[in-house]
Amino acid sequence: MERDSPDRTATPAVAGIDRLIHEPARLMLMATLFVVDSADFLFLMRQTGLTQGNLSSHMGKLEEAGYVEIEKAFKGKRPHTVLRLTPSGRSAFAEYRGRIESLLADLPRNTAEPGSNHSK
Amino acid sequence: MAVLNLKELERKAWRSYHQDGLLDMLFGLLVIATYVAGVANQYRFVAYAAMFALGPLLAFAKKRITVPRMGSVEFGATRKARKRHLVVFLTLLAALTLALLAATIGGAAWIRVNHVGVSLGIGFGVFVAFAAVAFWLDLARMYWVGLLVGAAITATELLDDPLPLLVAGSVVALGGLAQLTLFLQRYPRPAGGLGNGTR
Repeated sequence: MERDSPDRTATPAVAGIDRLIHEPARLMLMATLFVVDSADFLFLMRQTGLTQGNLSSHMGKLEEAGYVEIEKAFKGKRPHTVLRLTPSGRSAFAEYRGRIESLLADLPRNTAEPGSNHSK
Repeated sequence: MAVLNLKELERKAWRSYHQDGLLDMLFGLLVIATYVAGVANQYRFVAYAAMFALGPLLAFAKKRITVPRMGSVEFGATRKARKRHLVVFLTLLAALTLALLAATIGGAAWIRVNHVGVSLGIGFGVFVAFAAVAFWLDLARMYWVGLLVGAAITATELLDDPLPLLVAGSVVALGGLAQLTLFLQRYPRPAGGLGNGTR
């Protein structure tokens, strides 16, 4: 009996996806920062719906990777943090986007059409 | 459907920054000030002064109301270019309006003869100004504001009664106030310094 074997050619492309960006919260952050020049901490919290702790943690990881530049200052007595993508963050995100798009573009649009039978 | 619709994401960020109703209130108050200048001679100077104060007042309100609740953001080059196009267009429109005003004061005969056409033209010109704001600032509701204010100005000219301006201005300003109320409920000010940068 012949068994379906997984398509091994897809593996390298999937493995090449940047896992740091692929995490949903960080993906949202990177995408938001990709479409603006810079944004402050509060704006990113509002746009992504993340809590302050979550946002701080993800931003720390992205900063460590060199994807995000964090500028800290004070507005009066209040801390004010402005974030922007670094050039390497921009290119990493662009590459990530390209990979995901090319991966998903090859998938069939609708695999669950009525009448289709996958268990022959 | 795009895997990552970045254009839509940017648009969502842009629109969320302009859902505070402040711009609507500004335009509404501007129209009401025009009404006041038209009906009350003794308050005319105050009305004109208020018109000039509304711009700085909008900037102040954005700084005090929107930014502490929504945060601040610098949009990309495309948005800045669109703003520049709007400024150039509105400057040209203002120059054309001044030329027409000069012709009116100078008593150009064709204006008196074509009163209905000129009234419709002024209303259309006002609509075009708002449509430019709607198009280049990507704020679709400004088409409706333009339609309302343009119709009010035409009606004012045709009826020789500024009451339509008061109605239109009030509708626009109250719409802005309703948006502002929703905005304040949806985005309460974070307590203390929380929410903008401690890590």
